[in-house]
Amino acid sequence: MPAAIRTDHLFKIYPGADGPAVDGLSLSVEEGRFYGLLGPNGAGKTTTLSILCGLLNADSGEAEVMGHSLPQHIDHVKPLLGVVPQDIALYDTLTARENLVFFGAMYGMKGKTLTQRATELLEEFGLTEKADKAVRTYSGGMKRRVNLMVGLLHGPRILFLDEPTVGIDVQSRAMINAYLQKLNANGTTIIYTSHHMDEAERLCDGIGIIDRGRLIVEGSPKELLSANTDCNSLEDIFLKLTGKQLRD
Amino acid sequence: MTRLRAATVKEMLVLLRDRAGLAVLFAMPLGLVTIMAVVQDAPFRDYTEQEIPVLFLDHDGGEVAILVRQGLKDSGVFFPSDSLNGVSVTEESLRESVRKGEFQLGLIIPEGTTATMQQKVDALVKHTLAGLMPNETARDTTSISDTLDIVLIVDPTAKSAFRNSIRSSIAQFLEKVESDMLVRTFSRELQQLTGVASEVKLEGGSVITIKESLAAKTELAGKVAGNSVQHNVPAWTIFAMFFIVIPMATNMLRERDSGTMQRLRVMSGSLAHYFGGKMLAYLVVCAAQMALMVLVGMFLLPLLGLDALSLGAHPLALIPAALAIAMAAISFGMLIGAVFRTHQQALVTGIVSVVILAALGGIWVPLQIMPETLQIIGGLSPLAWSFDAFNVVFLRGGGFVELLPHIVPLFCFAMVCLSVSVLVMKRALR
Repeated sequence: MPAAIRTDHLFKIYPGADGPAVDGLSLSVEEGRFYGLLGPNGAGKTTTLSILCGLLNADSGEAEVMGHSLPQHIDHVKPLLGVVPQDIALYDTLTARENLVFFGAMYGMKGKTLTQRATELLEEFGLTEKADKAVRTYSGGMKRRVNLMVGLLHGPRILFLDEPTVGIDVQSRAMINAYLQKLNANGTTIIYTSHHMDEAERLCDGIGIIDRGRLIVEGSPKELLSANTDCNSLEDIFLKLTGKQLRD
Repeated sequence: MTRLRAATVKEMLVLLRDRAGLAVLFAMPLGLVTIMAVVQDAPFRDYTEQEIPVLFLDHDGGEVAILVRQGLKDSGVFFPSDSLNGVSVTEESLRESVRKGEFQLGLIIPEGTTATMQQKVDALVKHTLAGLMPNETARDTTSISDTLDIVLIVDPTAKSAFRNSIRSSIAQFLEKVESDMLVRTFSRELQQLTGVASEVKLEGGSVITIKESLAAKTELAGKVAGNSVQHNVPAWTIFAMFFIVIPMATNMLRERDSGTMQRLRVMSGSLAHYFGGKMLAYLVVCAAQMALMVLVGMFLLPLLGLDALSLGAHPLALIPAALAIAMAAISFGMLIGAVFRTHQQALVTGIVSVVILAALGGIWVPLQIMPETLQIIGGLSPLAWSFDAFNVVFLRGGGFVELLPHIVPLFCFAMVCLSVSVLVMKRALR
């Protein structure tokens, strides 16, 4: 399978920072994978995703999405990507439907296709009844669902999810996870960051643990557990590799 | 086009649901223009358009006092009164009353004023006619040095311009009284000389009068003047348009903080759609502000006793003028929203800068009456350029051609602000 994303010796340091956010990261994720990019706070997950979706430029190294080099061919890459940021990146005075229609239009969708797609997603995520209420009146779980729906509107080939289930109830998380599995089964590559190790272990077929901007281990959950027989779970492996020292 | 339309609709929806923002954009200028137009009405009017009560104390009892009192009454401006609460006014009560501000003016005609004036006039006439009167020796008018001062008591808070106007007005009455007396005396003396009765009266006012005409386009001449309404409506419209900086900067920072800006950046749409949508939505807002303020000037302010707003000889020229001002204001708002990192920074800087630029730009007080240095500094304010552009249409009767030199700097200002905003936003996201 060709690589959906590939980085080679990627390096990024923010002005005034003590050390690099991404420090020579080399990574390759094949198309169709459900890949978990895990790491403690400040490990470089969000920075890596930001470089891959064109929000940031790397200081050095190479980054590619579906064979397109970044940042040179970012315009070819953008339509292929769906990005779901960690923040609830919505207009809270607009309704869910208005948010979907606006962001859909910004993806280049229009007319009936857009309204139908919005209605479809609202139904799929159980928000039809509240679709015309302002987002600011929603619960945390509902907002997360709309946040995810926006990233899915245009049917992207690669979906970047930055902690999509943080701070929500069990029901919402279960719904989101089920949908993501279905999406992946239909061929969408998912690159996912999370602090929920159990969730990552259950969902992902590939895991990369990064710390201080470097990839420290990679493999399927099964491979990682086999290689670390002293650990009972992915969380144990994570703590073993990244340490128990508190991060900011 | 789809993206631009979507961005515009989104911006309109966000604005329409921001009640505080709407209040800033519409209620505030509406209140300001109404209050300021009423408050500034008196200072904008000539003093002769006001009604000024005058305390009048007559120690003379002669012709001068009678004529001065009549002259004051006939002016339609001054209303002489010689009693205070039903009690005849005294010099002391007059001074005290004016000092307290109960009256703006008091006038004291000293005893013997008429006699003194008549004496001087007689001497002058006799001196002039000396050669024609063989039995009369010429009298030296210089020997009549007795002069009496009519005392004008003025409220200490009165402005010097007002005092000067009143003084010159009273002097005019006195000159007229003196002229009347002079003519009558001449007439009488000539009658004695010639034995022919020829009473001459000075009637019908001056032979040469002043005809004032405003240097506007001929269609407007004499119709429109810089009154309170003509000043305040364009002034507060400009102020309101520039106050767009508040909702604009707030929304831009909210987009950055919430991550919607980043979300937009990973989509195919460019910053052009982002800024274009904002520009179009806020242009609609500015058009609505303009329409509201014009309607207020035309229909609401006259209900409060003010003049109705005149749109000038070429009202359609208001469209390019308003467009240029709106673009400058919106771009300035974008610049503030792009440059500053926090809501507090953006709001404080936005509000303070607009207030300072408004003060320097002649929004509150016309630029022409400011000190020269401030006029030079004020000339750098885009609000001053905006005001000049509106004045071309509202007061000078100018059309598009005359407007052009005033709106080009506004468009240039808008382009500079917009370019810097785009650069800053691009840089911030890298």
